[in-house]
Amino acid sequence: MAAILEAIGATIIGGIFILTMITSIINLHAIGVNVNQQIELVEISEDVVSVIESYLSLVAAGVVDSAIISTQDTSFTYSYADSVGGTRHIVNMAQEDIDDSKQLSVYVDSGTEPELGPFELSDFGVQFTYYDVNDNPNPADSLVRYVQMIMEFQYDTFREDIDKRFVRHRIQIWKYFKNLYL
Amino acid sequence: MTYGQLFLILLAMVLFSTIYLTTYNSLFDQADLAYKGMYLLNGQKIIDKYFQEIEANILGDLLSFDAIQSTYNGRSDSLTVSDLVYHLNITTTPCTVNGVDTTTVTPEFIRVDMSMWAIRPDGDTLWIGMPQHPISKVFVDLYY
Repeated sequence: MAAILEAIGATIIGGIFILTMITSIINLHAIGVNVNQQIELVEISEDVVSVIESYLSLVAAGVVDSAIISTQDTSFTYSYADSVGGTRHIVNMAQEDIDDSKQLSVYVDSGTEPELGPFELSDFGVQFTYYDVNDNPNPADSLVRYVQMIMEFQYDTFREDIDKRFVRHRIQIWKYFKNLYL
Repeated sequence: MTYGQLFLILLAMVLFSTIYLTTYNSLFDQADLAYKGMYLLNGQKIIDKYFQEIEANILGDLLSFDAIQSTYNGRSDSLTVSDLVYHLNITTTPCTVNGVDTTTVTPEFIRVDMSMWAIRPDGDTLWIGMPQHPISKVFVDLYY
């Protein structure tokens, strides 16, 4: 009888021990995947921001007047030309709500398909703040000289029940429109 | 159950815990790298903002070259990005086209050096360009 009880006890203890090991391994895996996603997100957001900056460098290039068309908190529309007085193009950077999630897209010449994006953003989305030459925020469109852009990229979490947190990266850039200083 | 068996179970638990802790520690190191990358990127963007500001001032002739030197030399600023305060120090030095110091009174080029630090949430200090090894850019006086 004692031997049977010992065997049952050992089985229970061993079972608990094995379950703990398995749970730990699953937890470690979940955390590892999230950390890996965080690193990837930093790399991806760096690439995305570089491309966005190259688009913003075009603001007012070759355009004599009315280069900045619209300045909103979550969208920015401006124009540039192929050459001075050449064909004018209109660029629209906008936060969109697709399937209840915020995304950033860049449209050129009112196209229906984004030239860049859409990039998934968190609930924070994107925020544009415009400044004049004296660093005063929110001036009239014609007085805007640089923009501050804050965006928060997001990945989904690995699992809903373990280490549940969205992988996010908030990045803040400033872009001076050099063509408007010339 | 004998004492020998109990000892073996305890030994197994201790060994397993060691592996578990080591793996966890590695993951924390990885997470630390990820966060460091984020802070470094934001710091770089702040430094880039100031370089752009100086460039715009030169392009637009908003400040004379002399004024740029005096305005930015010794300037310190603090900016908060994602709840982290970045402290920036700027110095300007007259230099040659290659960025080598000169003593010219009216230089054609100036080198702008920037160093930045921030106290991370874990208490460590993160440097982005150090005073001894700053992030530098050489600017030319377009109207020299």
